[in-house]
Amino acid sequence: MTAKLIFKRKTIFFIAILITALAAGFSLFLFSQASGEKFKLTPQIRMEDAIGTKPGVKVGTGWSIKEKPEEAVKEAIEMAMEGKKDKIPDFAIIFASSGSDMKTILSQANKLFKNKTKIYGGTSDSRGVMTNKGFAKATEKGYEYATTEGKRSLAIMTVTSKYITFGVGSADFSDYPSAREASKTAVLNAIKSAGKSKNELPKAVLITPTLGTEEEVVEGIEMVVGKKTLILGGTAGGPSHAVFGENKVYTKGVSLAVIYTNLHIGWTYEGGFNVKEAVSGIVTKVEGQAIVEINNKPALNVYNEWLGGEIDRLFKKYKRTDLIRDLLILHPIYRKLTSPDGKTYFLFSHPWPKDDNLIERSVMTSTKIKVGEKIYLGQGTWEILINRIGSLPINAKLKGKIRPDTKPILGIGYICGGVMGIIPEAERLKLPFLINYTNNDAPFIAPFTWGEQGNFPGIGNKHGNLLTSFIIISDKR
Amino acid sequence: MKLFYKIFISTLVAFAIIVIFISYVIAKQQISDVEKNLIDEEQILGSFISKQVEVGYFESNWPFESLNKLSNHKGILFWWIVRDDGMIYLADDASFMGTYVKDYFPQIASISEKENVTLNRDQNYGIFFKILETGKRKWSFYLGFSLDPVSERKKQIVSLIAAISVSALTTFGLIVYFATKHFTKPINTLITGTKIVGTGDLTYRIKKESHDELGELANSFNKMTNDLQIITVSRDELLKEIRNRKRAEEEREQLILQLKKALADVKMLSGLLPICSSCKKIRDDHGYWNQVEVYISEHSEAEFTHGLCPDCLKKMYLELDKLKKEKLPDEKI
Repeated sequence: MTAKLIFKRKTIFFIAILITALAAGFSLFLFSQASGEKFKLTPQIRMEDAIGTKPGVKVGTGWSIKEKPEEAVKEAIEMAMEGKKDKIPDFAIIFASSGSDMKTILSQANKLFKNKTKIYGGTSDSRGVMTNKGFAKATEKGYEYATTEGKRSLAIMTVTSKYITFGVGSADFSDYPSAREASKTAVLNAIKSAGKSKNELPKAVLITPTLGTEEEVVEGIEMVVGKKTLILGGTAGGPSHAVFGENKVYTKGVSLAVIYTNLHIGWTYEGGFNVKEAVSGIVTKVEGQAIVEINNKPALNVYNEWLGGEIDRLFKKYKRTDLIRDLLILHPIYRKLTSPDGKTYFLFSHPWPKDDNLIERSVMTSTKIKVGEKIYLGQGTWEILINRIGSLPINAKLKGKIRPDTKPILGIGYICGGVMGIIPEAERLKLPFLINYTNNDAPFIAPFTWGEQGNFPGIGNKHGNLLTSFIIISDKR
Repeated sequence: MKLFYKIFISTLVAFAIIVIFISYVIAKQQISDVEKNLIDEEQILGSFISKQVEVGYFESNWPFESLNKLSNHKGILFWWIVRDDGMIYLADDASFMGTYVKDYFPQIASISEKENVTLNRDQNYGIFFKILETGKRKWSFYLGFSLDPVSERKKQIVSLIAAISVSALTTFGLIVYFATKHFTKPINTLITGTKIVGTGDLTYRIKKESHDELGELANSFNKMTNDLQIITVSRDELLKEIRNRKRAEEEREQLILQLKKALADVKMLSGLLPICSSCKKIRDDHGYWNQVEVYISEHSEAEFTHGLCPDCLKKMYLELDKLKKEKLPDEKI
């Protein structure tokens, strides 16, 4: 046999082995490839309820994330008015994310409303604003980290009703000796705008002050409407704050609206945190809104001690005060307020280190805490807070003695931007749906605020942080 | 086809078929187990979360943290808390909230069982569905999970089995190759030996390399060859003898011929020879008169050498003298 023939036969033999082996492997490989298409779900278009529950009442909400303010306002108003350009609402609430061109928004709104609509509102937290139609998202991050470049959102609620009378007022603090005086004037203007006299007290006063003088604003308004009248609102969201005045925008001022109606009102003003009465201290030194000392010790040291050293440990590891701020949002301080009838209310404050390097050991809040006041440590989780926001309408109905299954005409909420920020972003988008469920899909608008004002029955109206509030107007009980 | 290839290919193919069949059965079983484990796992997870959701429903305190962790759990595609009217109340992805289950899974929306797991192998997902204990209103919980772990495990199992199969086939192929070669070698040797022996070389012997039947065959072959050799040697000798005899025969024949010829030649000189009484010429068979010495030379082996007998010599010299005397004295002779 020649060498060539031997080689040929060996080659054939090895090829035979290889082919058999490959055939076996390939058949198994094919068997493994029957995995089919990748699963993918696409959300369907959401059906939206018709608005308005009572003849003679028309409430609409709209939102926009368009970059150009004129287009954004136009889009939001068209959505709220269902495209009916000839219809002019009596009253409009407008909130735009911090960094928006508030002047253009106001002028465009006035133009579209033909200057016939009473407008109240201001800035919401840079991260967005909410209505029953969803979370109109703006910036990714908040506070000083907000990059407002190109990312805006605004929301609007329009009301036309013969059963509700609105009046609007505003004031620029720089025009007055104090915020107190400015607010007093603003509410008087609002009452006048509603066609009422100052003796006719409104059912509620909705306020949006700028940051820093909220307690004075509340005091000024109470000077007109009294401690029993509900003042509900929220500080204009930041980092750049602004409120709407009459054809003007104020960076230090207040925008407010008064509500007169015979319809039923329900409201709630609450914190939602767990209260740990065991951990407390006495404020022994303050500087403006900064708590310098607690129990005669540097405030931040005491706070750090309360949290088991977590503040210093966190800062040492990451060198970031925003993380500390988030930590303190979940461990806020609160004051206990007791009404004459023995009810206890908790007024929360949002603390954060005054010094970014934590060298200076004062703690800032955006509330005015006085020396001698006892402060307590609260505790919460984002789960508690998101659930609390979801139950706002129910709580408002309960307090207004309105049946839980009643669909209100409208709802207005003020939700702390800090609370919103601590909720994971994906979960924030669920807030409107949670509120819709308990609000029976009624229209609502809710800015994210940098301070919240509300009423503690028997005590009066207060300003606090990390609070949430909601007011509903219902034709039914 | 050569015996070697017949044995080799048939054995290899039979083994390959067995290997493929066993691999398929094992793989299918393994995959089925993986799928079952995954379903059990998702069912446990789904039931656990459902309990928390039920509590949350009554307390208006949804377990967002647990649900959030569920969203981040590997293999989970979605979770939905669905109202009694089929609207998705809460979901991992807010975009689905407010929409209806029937728009995505109409077949599941109509299931009446309290708890069910549905698989869609084509699109590689499964859904755990449970009706929650929420009083009169029948809320439900949906948990979508990927069958990717099954697919991945399937690929791992198949790859492993394929690798083992290929290795087994290759190893077996080599074993069969060498075994077949080993077992067919004696046969080839036998064939070679037979051919060699067939050419006449009866001294060729096959080396006995085993004690089995092939060894016996080699022995038998050698014995046969030996016997043949013995027989062949006798034959050769016989042939040699025959050849020798033949040669002797031929030689004898040759001799006979020669003798016959010689004899023929000899006979040709016997009988009556017509000779001239004067010149002594002999007439041959053709009628020609030949000199005596010519005729005898041609008809026998005798040869002539010419000389003079004394009488002729004497006579010749006398004649010569006469001649001399007759010649002129000036002619010299």
